[in-house]
Amino acid sequence: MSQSFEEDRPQAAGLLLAARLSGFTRLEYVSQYAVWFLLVVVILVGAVASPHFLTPNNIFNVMRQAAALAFVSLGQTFAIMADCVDISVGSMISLTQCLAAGTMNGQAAGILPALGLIAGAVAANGLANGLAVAKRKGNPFIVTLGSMAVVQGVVLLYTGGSPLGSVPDGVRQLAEGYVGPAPFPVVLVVVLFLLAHVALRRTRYGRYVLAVGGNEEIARLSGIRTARIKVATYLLSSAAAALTGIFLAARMNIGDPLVGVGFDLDSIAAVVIGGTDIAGGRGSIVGTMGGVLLYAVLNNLMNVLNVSPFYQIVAKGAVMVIAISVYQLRYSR
Amino acid sequence: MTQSVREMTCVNDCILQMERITKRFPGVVALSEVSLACRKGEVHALVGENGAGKSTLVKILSGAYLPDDGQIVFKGREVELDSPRRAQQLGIAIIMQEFNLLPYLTVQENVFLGREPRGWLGFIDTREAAQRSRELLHAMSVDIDVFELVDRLSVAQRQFVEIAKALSLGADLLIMDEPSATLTGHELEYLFRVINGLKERGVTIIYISHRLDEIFGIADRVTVLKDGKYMGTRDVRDVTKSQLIRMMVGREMGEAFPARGTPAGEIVLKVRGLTRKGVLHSVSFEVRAKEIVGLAGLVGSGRTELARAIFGADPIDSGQVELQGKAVEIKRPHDAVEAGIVLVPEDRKLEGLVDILSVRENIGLPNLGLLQRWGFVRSRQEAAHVQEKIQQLDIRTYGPDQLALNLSGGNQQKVVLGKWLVSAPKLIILDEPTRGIDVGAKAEIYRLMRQLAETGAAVLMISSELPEILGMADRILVMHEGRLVAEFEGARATEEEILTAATGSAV
Repeated sequence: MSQSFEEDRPQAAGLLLAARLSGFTRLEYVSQYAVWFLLVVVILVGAVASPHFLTPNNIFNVMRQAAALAFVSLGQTFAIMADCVDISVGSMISLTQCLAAGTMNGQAAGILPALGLIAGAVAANGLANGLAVAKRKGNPFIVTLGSMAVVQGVVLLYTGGSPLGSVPDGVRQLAEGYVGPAPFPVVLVVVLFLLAHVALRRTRYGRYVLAVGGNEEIARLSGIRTARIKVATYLLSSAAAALTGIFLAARMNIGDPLVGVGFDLDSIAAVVIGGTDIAGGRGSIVGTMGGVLLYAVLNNLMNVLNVSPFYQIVAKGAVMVIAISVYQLRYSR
Repeated sequence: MTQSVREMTCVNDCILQMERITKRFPGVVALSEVSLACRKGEVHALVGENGAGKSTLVKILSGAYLPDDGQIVFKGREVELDSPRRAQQLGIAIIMQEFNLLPYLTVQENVFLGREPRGWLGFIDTREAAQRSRELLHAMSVDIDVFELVDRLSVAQRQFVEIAKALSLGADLLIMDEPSATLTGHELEYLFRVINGLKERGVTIIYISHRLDEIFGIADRVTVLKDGKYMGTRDVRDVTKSQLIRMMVGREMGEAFPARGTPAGEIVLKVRGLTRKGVLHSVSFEVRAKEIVGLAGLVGSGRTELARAIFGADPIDSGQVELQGKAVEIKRPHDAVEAGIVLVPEDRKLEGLVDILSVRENIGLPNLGLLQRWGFVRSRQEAAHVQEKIQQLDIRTYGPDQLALNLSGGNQQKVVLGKWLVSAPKLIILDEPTRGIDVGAKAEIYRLMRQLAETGAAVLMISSELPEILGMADRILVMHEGRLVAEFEGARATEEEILTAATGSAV
């Protein structure tokens, strides 16, 4: 920032300073070009390949589908940045969806009890994961692998193995409703992502997440309560998974004990494709948005083209590997 | 030997008095009734060999450890430093050798880490943090963009960010652990100016360094520790370097450097036109058998890059390498090792040792080709070779199965040397071979280096310590910004000549 630049264009300099102060220009510090580039490519391919692809109906569909992955990926972003990956989110989604549908059973009276049970589940899983990793020095991967299994067991016991329950109309608006011209879930996602971005750059919690994930010992020596940050992050991750669960209950009007399968890996993939470093310490909320969109659009494209589900899995895997290779090259420079 | 610190004439203006501090770890007494007294506003050096207890003592001061015995009086009051936060609150700040900075956060975020100024609604007040960090840096006449990622700063710049961080704590006592280890030339001068500036503002500084010459340049008084015991405190004007060394190691250290050898005629290494875009520009030189060639230059001049290029760790764009008259194509370290070239890297922890493996496993590592039959390691042969190296190099260890990370810096370096010597290499490249190693072990490494040369190998030594280069090298090459700019004969060169060439001025 040379003197002359500031003198020549004081407004521009002021704007740039404001942008830097608010942390928005941190975009440049994390490599996300791959994800946005791929997104554009896939959209173009879709537009060319099928006339149905760019219809408003389909676009809204994609966005609604993306919303489910978006909520849980938001929590996963913080988790991975804090070096606290959470594999139990998939089962948490199943559990919270079934708790929602199963407790409400189509009655409005069931909303509060359902929320209470869900809150309890979030607290239990979040605390269990957080304390195991923070106090017992458990490896996050292994700990959340364990809680994933436990939660999945709980949900199967609760449902007896088959889908159950339903959701009252008011709640269904969560998924089907509109705010003006935009679908409600899309608005909710955008609002939450904005809040998360600001939280990451401007709050102490966000700063400490980056510190703990970057170098836990340095964070500790700087007086940061690393255990609290980790527990809070696991609670956040479980809460984000619960939001996806509730959303899916509203959208599907049922509680399916296996609905969450795949969300664990997909959320991690979306976060990593978005440029967040899997080793922790640096990341981007906006990047995760890109990763989520990429996955949703890719999914949608393959469905529209009637590609077999098995090829879909291969395609998703390939995209992940390509994006990650690109980032690792940049990160290890 | 336990003289009360109150006898050291600073009763009124002592900012710190540590008395009879004892600290035990399982199996070892790190500190035994150690005392330290610092006057307000002085630069107080703390010296001693590795393992003498300096790090432990300052870690106690910084709140990372609690002493088992003894008391600490800071600013006139007895204190218990039971956590880093407590020490910070009282006004004690420490700058470690490996900086406590988060690379992926910006300068101003690092300076206020853990103590961010809060603004509207509890959010972090970035403007305030940026403003104050800028002021702190300007007060030191340092020009760094506070929004720059620490990752992108040079080592010297990171040093100043650490100092700014300490000052932002309102530190009255600043502990600096080997601050100059990675600085050279004018960076060092700059650091000293900053330290003097701090003194003027009444900040007391405890300065740990192995470089005794520096201590005479910057410190007011010096305290010597040896084997966890307090040896004495002297005014810097009243003591000589060899007296200090005697206090540190308990013996006279006459000639620190072994006598020079006589390089044989034949050329072992011939490098021509080695170029790598942006890093090396047409570097050409030779090294003869039994010769030690010193490679001098400022940090960033390309010396390590040159070593890595010859060793195959980094690619080259053009140039030739000849070993004993024959051209060799080295694309990866494997090729180099096969050809008889070995590299002892700058950062032993990162690149030289696998610290969770044992001494035996480390020494055996590159030699398993020799030591195996049908893919299985021949353990008896391996053990024999390793034992030979342990004896030859006098590696102090409980046994070949001791974990490498439990050895002192000097012994770790010997392990690194040992592992490469099993194969009797033709060219040995050493990058900062005695960095972070105490005086006693340094002399041993120097002796070993000369021994290695005498066996017929060619030795290329990169070093940032001019006395070391002047003492050890038969010939000195100087690099500047990727080019070889000067050559001097070892016996006759002066520090000034080398520095002049290293900074790019005309020779």
